[in-house]
This record gives sequence, structure tokens and C-alpha cells, in this order.
Amino acid sequence: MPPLSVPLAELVPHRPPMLWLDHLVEYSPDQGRTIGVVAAKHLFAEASGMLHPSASIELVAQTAAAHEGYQRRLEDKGVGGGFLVGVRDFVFWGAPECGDTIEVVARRRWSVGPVSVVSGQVTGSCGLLAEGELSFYLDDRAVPEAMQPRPQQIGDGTRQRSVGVSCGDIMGGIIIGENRDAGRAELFFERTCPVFCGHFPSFPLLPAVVSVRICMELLARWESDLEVPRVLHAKFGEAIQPPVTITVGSAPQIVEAQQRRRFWLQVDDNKAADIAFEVRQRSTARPGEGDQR
Amino acid sequence: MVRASTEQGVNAVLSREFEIDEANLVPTANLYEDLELDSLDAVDLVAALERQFQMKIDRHKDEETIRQMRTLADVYGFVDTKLGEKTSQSG
Repeated sequence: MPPLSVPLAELVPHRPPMLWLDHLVEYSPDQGRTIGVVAAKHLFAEASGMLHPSASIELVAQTAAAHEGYQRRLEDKGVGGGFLVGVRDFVFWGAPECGDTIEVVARRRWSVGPVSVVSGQVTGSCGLLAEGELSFYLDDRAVPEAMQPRPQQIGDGTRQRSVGVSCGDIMGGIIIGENRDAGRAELFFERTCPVFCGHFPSFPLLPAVVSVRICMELLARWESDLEVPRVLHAKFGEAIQPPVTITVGSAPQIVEAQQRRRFWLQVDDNKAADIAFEVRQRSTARPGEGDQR
Repeated sequence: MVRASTEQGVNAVLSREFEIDEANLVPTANLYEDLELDSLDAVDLVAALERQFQMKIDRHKDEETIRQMRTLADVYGFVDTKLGEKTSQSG
């Protein structure tokens, strides 16, 4: 059998700058494997030349989407719809480096109705970078009711104008209000933010991974002595469409001696995401050190 | 008869991961109406139980059982059965 090498763009609806992998190189009904070279001008690139660690979540998600897309191709179906709706126990051992070739594996584990659980691993030239579990809503007929954009969550930008001064930005989202002591912030995303060009051209939607990154970056702004080795749990319930103002809240938690930070994202009165991170004092140790792998 | 340790382990996950008051964790509690979980939470619950009890969900065998779970007693029963399978396989 000839080796498989299918361009990802043929299998998934993502487009640059949100198309992060090059080819699907292995397929079985339970597993897909992709490879890609990390672009120098990657949307998640940081000054260090590494990607923000949260990028690995999207890499597994795109591999799972490519696996699903190839399966649909074998069944003579077009590219289907799928949404990342959950993250569980996703550990960051490192971060992808610009210019490096990475390999990503996604294994379809089990499903309940349209929700599938996938486990994945991201590997770079220096070894395992991240691993964890994701949940997807997969359905080629219709998106679930809970994810249908609601009229009231589509902002018109008036709040941005009323709040006024920007105090920074995250992924093109302007921070229009911030209270570090209360752990709260407001961000405004225009339709023209680069992230929406590729996710998706005909249906702009804030990628779940951007929600994760927003929270991690706010945590870094507010408590720079902390780092995030692991996303314990994330649930994405509402579609976020631009232009939109997102309110972010956070609170510390200690559960069974584990330090956590809980974040939630709201659009108007609708909770769009709920994310819990394991946190610890920043050190020079490798992320996840001391854990069993 | 479900083992007490199974009930305690399931309740611990629901209390820790889903912040559900332990007083509400009774076998007759409906996952969706009484404990206010949704379908995504149900998937997360099974994933969390898989880790807590180090059991393996069988894609072909267990999916229908998971789909049918409605009450906490159903969850206790499912986990207990999986643990029994694990014990018999290792023994």
C-alpha cells in the first residue's frame, strides 16, 4: 500500500492562518496521524520562537478533524461540521517550535451520540510536547442547538466605543477593561481579527483554543509567578461570533491540595466557556515534571 | 449489589469535578434533571470515571450503556460492572 499523504486543506474547513498542519499521513478507523512544519509567522508564535503551549490543543483538534474528514471521504461525503466542545487533562510538556516538524496523533476512543472523545499527542523533534483528551460534537446534519449563535450574543461594537481605552490585546482581541484584583477582564474582537479569516471563512467563529489562550495570557498578566502545566477541564458551550465583547472572570481554587485557577467566558449573559487549569509556581523545571507520563 | 467503594468513588468525582453538593448524590438522582448535567457533562463524567477507576471504555460494547444512563444508580452499576470485568481479566 502506498504511503498516505493527503493535504489537510482537502479534509478540514480550516484555512490559513488557522490551518496548522500539512498532511494526513496515516489513517485507520480508530486513529489518524498528521505532520506539519510550524510556520515562522504562526498565529500562536511568541517572541521566544516557540508557540504558545495551548497551540497543541488545536493541533490535536485539527488532526481529529482530518481523521474524520478522511473517513467521510472514504464514505463519499463532503467535509463535515465538527466543534471542539471539551478538553480534559491536557498536559503541556513543552511547546512546538517555529520551523520544527511536528507529528500529531489523534485516537478516536468512544462516542455518546454525536459527542466523540479523542485522545491525542503532539511530538516535536525534541520529544513529546503535549497530550490529553478532547471532546467533539460531530454531526453532518446540523450544529447542536446549544451552539447555534444567538442574536443577543452578536455584538455591534457599541460597548467597545463606550468603554474606550484599550489596555492591550490578546490574539487581536482588544482588552477594553481589566481588574486584576477581581480577576476580571473584557475583550472586544472585531470581525477583521486574523483568526476569523481561517476559522472559518464562511462562518467566523472564535476557536476554542483562543479561549484557552486568552485565559492563560490573562493569568500570566495577573499572576506572573504562576505557570500552567495542565488544562484540567474545559467546556465550550456557546459559539462566539464576531464582532463580540467577551467578559472573562476567574477565581482561585484548591482541590485536594492542587492549586487551580478557574476561568469562565461570557458573552452577554451566556456562558461560552468554563476552563480549569492546574497552576504552580513558575520554575525552570520542565512542565509536568514530577507527574507520571 | 454495588460496592460501597464504587459509590464513594463516583460521588467523589461528581463532587470534585462537577461541584455537586454531596447531599444531592443519591442513587435515584437523575443526572440531567436533578444533578443538572448536560450531554457534554455526561461524556466528561464517563471520561473522569475512566481515569478515577483506571477502567477502559470499550467503544463497541459500552457506548449504548453509556447512552442509556439516566440515574446515579445507573452510573454506579456501569462502573461496578467495568471494575468486575477488569478484576476477572486480571485474575
